[in-house]
Amino acid sequence: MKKIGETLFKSIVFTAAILVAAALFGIIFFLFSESLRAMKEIGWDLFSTEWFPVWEKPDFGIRTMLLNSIILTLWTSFVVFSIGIIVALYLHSYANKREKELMLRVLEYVSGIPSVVLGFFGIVIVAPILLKAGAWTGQNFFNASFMLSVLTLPFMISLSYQSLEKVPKEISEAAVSIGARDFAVMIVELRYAMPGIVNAMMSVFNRIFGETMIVLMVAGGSNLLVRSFFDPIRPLTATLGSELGEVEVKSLHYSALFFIGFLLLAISLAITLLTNYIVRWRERWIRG
Amino acid sequence: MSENQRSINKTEGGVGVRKSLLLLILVIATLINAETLVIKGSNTVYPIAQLWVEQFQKMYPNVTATLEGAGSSTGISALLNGTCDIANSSRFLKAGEVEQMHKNSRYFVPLVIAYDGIAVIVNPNLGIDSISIETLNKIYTGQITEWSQVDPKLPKKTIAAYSRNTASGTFEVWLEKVLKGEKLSPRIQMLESSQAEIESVAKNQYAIAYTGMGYVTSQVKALKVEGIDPTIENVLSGKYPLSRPLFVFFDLSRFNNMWPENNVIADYIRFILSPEGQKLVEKAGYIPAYGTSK
Repeated sequence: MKKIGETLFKSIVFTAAILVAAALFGIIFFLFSESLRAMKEIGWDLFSTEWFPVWEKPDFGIRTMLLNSIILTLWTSFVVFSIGIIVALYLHSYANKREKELMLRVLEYVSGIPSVVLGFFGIVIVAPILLKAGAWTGQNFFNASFMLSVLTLPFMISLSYQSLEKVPKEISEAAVSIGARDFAVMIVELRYAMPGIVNAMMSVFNRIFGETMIVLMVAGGSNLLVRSFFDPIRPLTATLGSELGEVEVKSLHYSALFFIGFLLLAISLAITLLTNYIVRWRERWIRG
Repeated sequence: MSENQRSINKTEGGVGVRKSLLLLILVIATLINAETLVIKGSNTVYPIAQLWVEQFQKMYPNVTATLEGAGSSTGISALLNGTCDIANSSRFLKAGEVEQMHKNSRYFVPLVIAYDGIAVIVNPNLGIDSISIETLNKIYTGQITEWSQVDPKLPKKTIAAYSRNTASGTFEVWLEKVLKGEKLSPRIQMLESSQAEIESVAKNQYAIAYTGMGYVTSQVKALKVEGIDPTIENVLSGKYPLSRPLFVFFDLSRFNNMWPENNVIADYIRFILSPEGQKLVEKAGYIPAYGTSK
């Protein structure tokens, strides 16, 4: 009887695992097959700069949007990584118990805010402030980057903090005993915690790259390659979110939008694989 | 339990079964008898049609109406294929569609049910009252980027020009009447809703945008276009340049080319053209074609 239950349970878990894997491959296949038409008919022009999907002679070039997406993600990630790691180090090395508790509690609450609320906040509060500061438009690169930082900082801080907390006491004590100063001890701990932190970086990077609602609301929506912080931009995800709802099914425009989806997924998967590789390689390097 | 009681229970059970059978038959009968009304077409007309269908189903509970917004062309070709009863459209039939209609000896009755009037809005503090289509074209194609180029009296500030996203019907009118098919400047900012446009223009002194007339609030100023005020009267009299009629088509050849009087399509048409139906046009943010007073 016990055995039957066990086999039943095992098979259920197994099917669930298979289903998840199949769903992932199904999605990839679906995106790919729907974007085939665009790849065949538009070809390399998909990477030109002009995106005019509903004109008499349509253009489906995503280069500007892709570059904007990448620049926005890189810049925001840089800000989030630096602030996140500094705050996590502070919490780990200097903060007293009450500070830690308060900070972690606050982060928990902030990380629960839905992105649409953050987008709304960006339009109503941040945009007028930016206008007063001299920007020619309230919805711009800076606004989007700022709101994306607010969205992802809590994850970055708490994940880095957890990795730092997991560093064994012996490591830091050993460092202190051979005469390392505070700063050097921190470096040692950081290096030990690096695999966890790199994982945190990856999930934050993917979150920023794939976030749609915030950029749709506050990035500005123009197909302009960003040259200053106050330029309005339109990342790939915003175009997808804006146009997929109304597009004629199976048209060339529809297929081009699926190509964007396929590209986003491919980039995100590539980054995940790369990070996994780096983490493993790094672990070997650190721990000998 | 005695023999008697058991038999009573049995008959009660029998009554139950019979009742549910009867109910089933009734449901099937109403399903067969129930009339359906399939409406397809323009996304611009969709918000109006949504209100109409809602009210229409309250008035005629035995009618099942379905509404689908998939674009004017889809609606008209569905009418040609006979897969819908009513086609909503934000444009008149194209020459090719008229030809096809004749070839199949069909007759699609065009009904103008509303006007889509588009207001050009700016911040009330900007100090501009009127604008020409040519200037709008230059702003939206990127030939003009500062307000001082529009009028030397205006400040030398960058124009923050907003547009609705390309999926919206309002954008279609803009593309046709202002851009005239030219490409939009990459500086133009796409917004997802009329509310977002009003909000952005109200907050930014140097912004300009366009929106359906029904959405204009006191937070923003609607400009005269070519010297004509954006009012309902001016749209109805055809003076205001940024407007277009919206249509509903139905197929008369289904009724032996006689005007239908006693069926669901006739009821629907009668309702949407009535003052009550036209009030819903106004509620959806458009200009009623036939007035709303009884």
